[in-house]
Amino acid sequence: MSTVDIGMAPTRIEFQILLALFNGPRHGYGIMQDVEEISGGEIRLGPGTLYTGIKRLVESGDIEECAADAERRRCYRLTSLGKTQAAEEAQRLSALLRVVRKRGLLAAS
Amino acid sequence: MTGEQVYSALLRLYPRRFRLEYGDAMVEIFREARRDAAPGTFWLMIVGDLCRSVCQAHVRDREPALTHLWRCALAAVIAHAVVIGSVAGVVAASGGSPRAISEDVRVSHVHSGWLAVGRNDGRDKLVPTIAVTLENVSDAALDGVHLTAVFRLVGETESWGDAYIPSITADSLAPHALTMPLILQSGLGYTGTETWDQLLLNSHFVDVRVTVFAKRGAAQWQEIGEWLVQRGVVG
Repeated sequence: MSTVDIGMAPTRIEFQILLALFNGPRHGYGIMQDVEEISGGEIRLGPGTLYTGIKRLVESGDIEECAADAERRRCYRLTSLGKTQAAEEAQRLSALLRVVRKRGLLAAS
Repeated sequence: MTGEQVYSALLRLYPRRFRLEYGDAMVEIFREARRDAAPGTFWLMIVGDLCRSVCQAHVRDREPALTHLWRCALAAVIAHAVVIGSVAGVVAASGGSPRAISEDVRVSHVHSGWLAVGRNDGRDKLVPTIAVTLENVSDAALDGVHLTAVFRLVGETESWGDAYIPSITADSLAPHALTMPLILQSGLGYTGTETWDQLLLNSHFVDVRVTVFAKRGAAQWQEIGEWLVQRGVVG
C-alpha cells in the first residue's frame, strides 16, 4: 500500500489547481474559471491566491510553465510528479470518504 | 485613478520577488476577471484575496518571525482599507451613487392614530401608531427591504420611541404589488384614568410626528416619509 507524505500533500487550493491542469495546459484565468466550475462555484480564486498556489507548485516541481498561448498569457501544465501527487491526493481523499461513509456522516450512494 | 491602477499599486504589498515574477500576470487576470464579474462581488473577492494571499506570500518568502507576522497583518489591514477607499473613489468618479429606495418602493397608503395597548398600573395607555402600505415600483421582485420608524413629540428633536420591521414581506414582493399594512408603533405613549377620547383631548396632550425610513439589505437608511399621527383611536 502506498503512503503519502502529509508534509508534501497539496493544500485544498493547490489540489484544485492540479485538478484544473489534469486535462491539459491552461493559462491563469483558465485555471481560475476551471476551479470555480469544479467546485460548483464554492471556490473562487483571486489572482493572489492563484499565484501563491502556482508558485508553490512550480517550486515543488508539480507543475511547470509552458509556451505562452496566442494572447501571450502564461500557461502551466502538470509534470509527471504533479500527476502522481494529484493521483495520490485523490486516493487519500477517496480513502477518507470511505471512512466518512462507514461512520455514517454521509449516506453511502 | 482606475481600478486597475489601484490594484497595481496594491501589488506592492507582496514580497518584491513574488511581485516581479507574477505581478504582470496578476494584473492581467484582474483585468479579465473584472470584465466578467459583477462590480460589487468582484471587489469583495479582490479584498478577501489580498488579505489572504499577501500574508501567505510573505510567510512563504522567508522564515516567519514575530515582527514579520505583524508586518503581514498590517499589510492585510492596509490592503483592506485602501481597497474599500478606492472602491468608493471609483464609484464616485464613475458618477455612481447608491440606488434610491424610491426606485424600489413607494408609500401607497398611510393610516395613523393612537392604539390602546391595555392598562398600565390600572390606567389605559395609548401609543402612537402608523400603518404603511408599500408598493413595489420596480420591475423586479423585491426582497430584503427593512423598515423603521422614529416617533417624536411635535416641537422636539429627541426620539419618543421607535419601531423596526426586519422584512416588509415574508417572501419577495412581485413587481407593482402591494404589501399588507405594515404596523409600526412606539413603545412610549400616554396613560391616564380618563377615557381614551378624554385622554386625546387633555390639555397636556402633545401630538407626535413619525418619520419612516427604509433600506434594502446593508444599504443606508433612506427616509420615505414623515407624517403627523392623527389624533384618533385606532384598532
